[in-house]
Amino acid sequence: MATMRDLPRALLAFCVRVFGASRPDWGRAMLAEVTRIDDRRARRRFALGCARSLVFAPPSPGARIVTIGALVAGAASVATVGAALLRYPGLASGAGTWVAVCGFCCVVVLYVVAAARLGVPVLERHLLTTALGAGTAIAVTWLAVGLNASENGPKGLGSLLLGFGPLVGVALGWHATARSGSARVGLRCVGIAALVAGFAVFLLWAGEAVVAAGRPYDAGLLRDFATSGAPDLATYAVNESLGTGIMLLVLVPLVSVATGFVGAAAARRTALA
Amino acid sequence: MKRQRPHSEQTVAVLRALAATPSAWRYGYDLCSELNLRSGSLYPILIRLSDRGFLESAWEEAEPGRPPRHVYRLTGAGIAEAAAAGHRASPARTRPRELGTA
Repeated sequence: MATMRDLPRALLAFCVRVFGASRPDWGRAMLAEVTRIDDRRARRRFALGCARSLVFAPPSPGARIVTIGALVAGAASVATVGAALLRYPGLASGAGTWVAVCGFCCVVVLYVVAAARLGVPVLERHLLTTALGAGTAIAVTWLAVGLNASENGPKGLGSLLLGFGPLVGVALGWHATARSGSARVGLRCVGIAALVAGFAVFLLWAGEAVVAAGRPYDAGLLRDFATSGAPDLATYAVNESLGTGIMLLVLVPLVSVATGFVGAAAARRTALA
Repeated sequence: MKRQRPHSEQTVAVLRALAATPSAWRYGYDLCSELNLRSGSLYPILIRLSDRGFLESAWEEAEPGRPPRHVYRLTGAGIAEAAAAGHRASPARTRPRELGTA
């Protein structure tokens, strides 16, 4: 009989697991309430109503923030490459350039679609803010690594900075999973942070190169330019920076997701232990 | 300035119930019972009020063998919104009556 009595709770627990990952507190709240209701009919009605509200939960404002933010970042990324092609016509040196541009556009579209899917249904406000902050921290770390390398800074500092980004990813995956009790929510947070970091690194790296004509020119760049066949040094430097920027646009999110996955898996394993 | 849709009759009832004792934390099921509102209607309302900053929530201390309960009360902005919603609503619309239509 106890099983029959708990049927409404079991149904609600199923709905919380399937539909409530984005609003874990509300799912837990409903489950806690249903255990307080002794009258069978009232218990059944309450559980069914809660299940319905989980399935049709209203979208949170965070969903719009993530989607609109990704659209703006995607448009800005495409505009940066467009501006580079307009300002340095020598960049368009052949079919290879347009293949690269098409590949870049595909990555941007993929990221925007991923952001829209990650944002709906979206996370609670605290987790969304944490994911955005972590993404910014990861981006700053990668840019600091690049700056340290280009300025010939201490190698120890470079290694330290290089290790900090993955640590942020692990910490975010752990925290989001532990707080929400759901690895799916943890990975969603990690995904949002990864996209923020990827777009931020690309926009700052490539944007700065386009504006500053790829300056400063180091000795290696001057040496390689001589045999590059590029029409001028600025075009060659911008071409190099855009290539690095596009590589970072792919690499930074991949590393962030991989490290975040480790954190989420560790938190899940700890919770199950 | 962002234009917001007027609250539904059920939302106004929830705001008024919470505003009646603004410092007290309330349970979801108690609000359902008091307002004769189904949980399928109450929780989306609570979620929207929370998203808009009108509602704060907390976890009550857990009793042995039972999960902690989620409790709710209005924020300062929520109390002001409840007062404004009360002024906007006509007496006929806010009269206590059967709300459970979900």
